[in-house]
Amino acid sequence: MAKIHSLLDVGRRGMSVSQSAMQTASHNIANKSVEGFSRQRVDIETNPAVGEGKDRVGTGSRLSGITRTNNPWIEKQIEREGSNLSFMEGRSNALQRLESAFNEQTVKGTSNAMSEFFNSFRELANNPESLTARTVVRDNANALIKNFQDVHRQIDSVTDELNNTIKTGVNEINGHVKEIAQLNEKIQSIEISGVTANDERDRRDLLVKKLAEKIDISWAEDTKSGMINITAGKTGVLVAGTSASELKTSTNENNQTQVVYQLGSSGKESDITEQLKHGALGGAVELRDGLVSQMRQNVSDLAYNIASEVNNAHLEGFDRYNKQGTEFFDIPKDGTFDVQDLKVNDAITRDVGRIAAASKPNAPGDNTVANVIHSLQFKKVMGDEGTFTFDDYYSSKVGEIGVMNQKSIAGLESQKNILDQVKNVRESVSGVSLDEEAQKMIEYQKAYEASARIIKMADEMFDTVLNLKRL
Amino acid sequence: MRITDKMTQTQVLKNIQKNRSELANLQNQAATGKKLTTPSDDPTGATKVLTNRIEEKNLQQFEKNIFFAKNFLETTESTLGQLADSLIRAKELALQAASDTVGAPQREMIGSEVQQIRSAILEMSNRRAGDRYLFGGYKTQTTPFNKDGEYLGDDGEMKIQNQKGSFVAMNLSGNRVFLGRGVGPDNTYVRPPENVPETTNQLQDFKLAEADREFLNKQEDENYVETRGPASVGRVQTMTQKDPVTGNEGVNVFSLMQSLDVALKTNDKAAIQDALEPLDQALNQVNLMRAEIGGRVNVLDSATEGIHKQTVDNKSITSQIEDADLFETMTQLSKADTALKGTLETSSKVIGMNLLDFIK
Repeated sequence: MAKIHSLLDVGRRGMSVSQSAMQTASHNIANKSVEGFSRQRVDIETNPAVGEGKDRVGTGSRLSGITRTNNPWIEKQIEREGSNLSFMEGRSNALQRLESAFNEQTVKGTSNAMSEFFNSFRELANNPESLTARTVVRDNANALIKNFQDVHRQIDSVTDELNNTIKTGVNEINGHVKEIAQLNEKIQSIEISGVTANDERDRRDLLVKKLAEKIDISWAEDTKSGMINITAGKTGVLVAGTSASELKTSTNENNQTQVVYQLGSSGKESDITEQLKHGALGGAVELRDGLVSQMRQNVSDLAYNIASEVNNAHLEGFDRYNKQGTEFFDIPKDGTFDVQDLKVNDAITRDVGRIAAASKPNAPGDNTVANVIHSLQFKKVMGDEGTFTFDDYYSSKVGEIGVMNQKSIAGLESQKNILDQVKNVRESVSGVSLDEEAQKMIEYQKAYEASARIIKMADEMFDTVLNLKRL
Repeated sequence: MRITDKMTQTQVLKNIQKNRSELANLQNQAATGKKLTTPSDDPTGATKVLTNRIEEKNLQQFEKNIFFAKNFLETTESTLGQLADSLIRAKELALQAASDTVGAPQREMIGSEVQQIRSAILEMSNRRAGDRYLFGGYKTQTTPFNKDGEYLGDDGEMKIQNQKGSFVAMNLSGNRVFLGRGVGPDNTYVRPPENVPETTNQLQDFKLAEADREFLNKQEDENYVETRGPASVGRVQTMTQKDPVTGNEGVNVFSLMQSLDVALKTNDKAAIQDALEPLDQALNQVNLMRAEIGGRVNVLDSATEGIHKQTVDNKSITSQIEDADLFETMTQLSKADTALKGTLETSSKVIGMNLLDFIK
């Protein structure tokens, strides 16, 4: 026979279930804007019925658990696409700065300086006797050198920026790694009692994604303990259960920042820079050791070739004092050419009369050598098989950077779209909808009210029973 | 599909950002008038623009070169014009003096005028353009002729670039103009080469060839047989007529004038008559030089025309690549503006709506 007591119980449980559901709804609403949050759902199940003779009478409902709505495959996709995006983002910024070092659309740059340098030799050919023409040659040579050095400095500042990206990236990685190890521990201790650690898992998923945005990682979850193990690159085990290992940076012989993995706090160190192919760090490493250092070399090659070609011709000439020409540019003989050390020969800097325009002594009007030097502008001396003039070579490099940057901009745009789409899918599954939560609030508020009414009704029923005698 | 608030919000934000960035881009184009501001906007275009700019600079320089060379050539030409006038006057005087009606005193008077003409010619031969002697070859800083009419310059030709890979000599060396060395089919004198070395290797070869040439010419000068030179006093030196030994056709203007002067003063009618033909030849020689200058000026003029045409072409190509079409930009700008307004308007409706607004 049904008891009024059990009616009270049903009401009480109903109120408690509704309250939990309301709390979950408010939890969802409050966390609506938290990154990586998955909406939570209360699972309500029917309370076991009690036998009453041949019938079984229901005893209301109870809370079976609170679960997060989350699709691990989508999370994995976001991780991958996010890693691709930050790879591109890391490059795009640096590429744009690299491009601006070579951009002559609005300012005068290397190409202009080269033209002026050779044109000043044309002016000298017009008037080899003139001191003014000679001074202009020297000044334009200095301007050209300064231009090459400026480009190098700009490229170097791009490299510095990329090195910084790597350094700060490693710091962030270490922070994330520590937190993930702590979360591992928490999740294990929560889930040992059979409940899901929803919020902790959301946070850990988010951190894994952030980690993937920085660096190549592979990870797997231990299904028994719920802990994950993360490896950076191929060999850097960052998280193993509850223990975390750090990444470090070091500077190599070329003054470039390298990523070093150290097992534990005192283990062996190993350079894993080569293994980084994805994420912001992978992008920075690829660009730094690829295009940026290549462009630096190209500018250096261009400056060296101009200097040595001009030198060769100049050595054949005779100056105002009928002396055999010296070298025009000072370049080291041992092959350690550095644009920063390039300068016009001291003798010429002191006295422009030492510029050799003539092909023989005692011929102040002879401009043969000046003609040879400015003709170098149109000679194909650059490239492996001498396929480019100086100008062509430089223009082709500008084009190369342009193409790279154009591709990077387009790629970034489409990658952003891809990531947005995947994130949209995630939002659709795991995101909080205020409409939905409002609807649930109304639903459970009503249920709460109704459950309360059941208790009131049971109370009244008790009164009725207790007042039977008085009736 | 389940739509959540965040989805709508990101969508709205994305749309607005897209519209705004397009608007900013177009605004920039309209303000600068350029659609190409970085190489990545159009890599091939940017490369082309760069090449065009270099070319433009070169063309400007070539134009300067041409202006400069023309100036030098024109100064030379006007000097040669005066030289021709002097020679004509000398011939008139010679003709007058060759007549039987003229006596010794008049001949002597004419002789002193001829002497004046000679010093005028000497002055011409030592003329300068700016601070450079016109006729000294490469030796532009030393007086080309001394008062005996001896040449102190060389035969250097100052080559000026008038276009890519092409050079024009801007001077005539004094030994050609006044001494007749290397004029006509002169096989005794090796003229400087036409071509200009453009690489260091060519320069080295050029220097070797020049040394050879100089040696040959020097030898030739030393062995120069003055078959009928001024040594035979009183006779006009006619070696300047086609030399039977060397085949030289050139005329030494100074010794011709000198001989004429001597003939007049010694009242040597035959010698005066002998001078008539060399005078014609000298005139021819000068006219030949003037024709050569004319030819060079023509080359320079047509090069200038080419440069102007190329400059215009260059500019129009560059403009096509980097300049924004203002009408198109404006149309797109107003389109983008409308799009942004539309987005903002619809966004305000979408973004604020919520079930909670309707529950009281």
